[in-house]
Amino acid sequence: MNVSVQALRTGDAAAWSAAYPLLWEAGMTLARIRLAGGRFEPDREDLESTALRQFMRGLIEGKVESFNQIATWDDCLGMTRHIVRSRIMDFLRARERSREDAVEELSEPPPDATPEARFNLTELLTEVNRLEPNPPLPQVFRERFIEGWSTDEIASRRSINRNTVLSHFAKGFRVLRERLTHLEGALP
Amino acid sequence: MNSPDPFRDNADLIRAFEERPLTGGVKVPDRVLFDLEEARTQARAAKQRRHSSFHIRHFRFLRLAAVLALFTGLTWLLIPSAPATARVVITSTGDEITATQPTIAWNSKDKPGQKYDVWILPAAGDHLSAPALFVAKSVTSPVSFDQLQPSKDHAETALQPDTDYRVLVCLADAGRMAGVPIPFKVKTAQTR
Repeated sequence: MNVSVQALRTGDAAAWSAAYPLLWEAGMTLARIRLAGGRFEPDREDLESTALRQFMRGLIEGKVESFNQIATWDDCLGMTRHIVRSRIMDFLRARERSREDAVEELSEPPPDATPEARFNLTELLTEVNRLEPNPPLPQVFRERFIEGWSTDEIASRRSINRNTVLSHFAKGFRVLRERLTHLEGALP
Repeated sequence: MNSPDPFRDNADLIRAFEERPLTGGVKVPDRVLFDLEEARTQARAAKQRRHSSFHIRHFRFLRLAAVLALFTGLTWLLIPSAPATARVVITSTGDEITATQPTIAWNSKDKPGQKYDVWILPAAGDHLSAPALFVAKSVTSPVSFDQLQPSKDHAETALQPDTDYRVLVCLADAGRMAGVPIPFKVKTAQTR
């Protein structure tokens, strides 16, 4: 997808119309993981809408240096995600949400690190599907990190204890890390 | 006892989920689209206001510069400039002479054929108002003494020895203001 950053800077209506769905999806994907749960859907929309407006004002008005340094479409996505993360953190602090549901204490990576450089998403999803089916690890991972259900909701839907779900995640993450690390080590 | 926290220990893996490739198939709610379009319009207007104020500031600067330039020009026009001179360098008589009927010569960078007025004045007094002893009008260099006409109140036909004089050469009809008098002295015969 190539949206002209220059056109976005000028406030071009067509460019922004093309950008809205993609920026929205990028932010919402992140928000569904960090602010998981059906009951937060209105909050996610509000946070996302506010974040996009903030990004838009920053890019068009050009008053803040960090926005002036945006040069590529990937930079646009990165800045949008950064704003969404910050707003979710503020929201969670205000609500004093539990960290397990919110993933609110995820450490921020260094600025020059990209997740793709560490873990390939295609490999990650492949390995998720290869996780042990009993207990149903692939399903709970998809429900949590693709569909956006909270840990509590997953436990409720599956009629199992919340800590059991967390232990499933712990086990799944351990297996994923081992397999992905092994795959990276096998690369030439 | 704290419950396990698998998320915190696997932030890098979770970020891969967060930043997965976009499908482009997600629809933005109409309410949000409306808000975004309104925000876009406001941001553009704010940017244009900033640019306008930028231009206004620069227009003010240009206007100030124009006023200063106009003021400078008018000042230059209004300040009286020095009167035009004949740009004459007198080569004769010299500082001291013995001839009582000397030839007066000068160099100038004026156009060829330019005519000059020549006065021989007493040593004292304002050269603009001092009574001329000898005058030659509309002449070119050199001027022999017989071309100089004695003034009405001056009956002598030659310069007097041991006397100081001034010679003034100006552009013809420009008046005495257009030149600088040059002093010279006529020596007596005994001093030779």
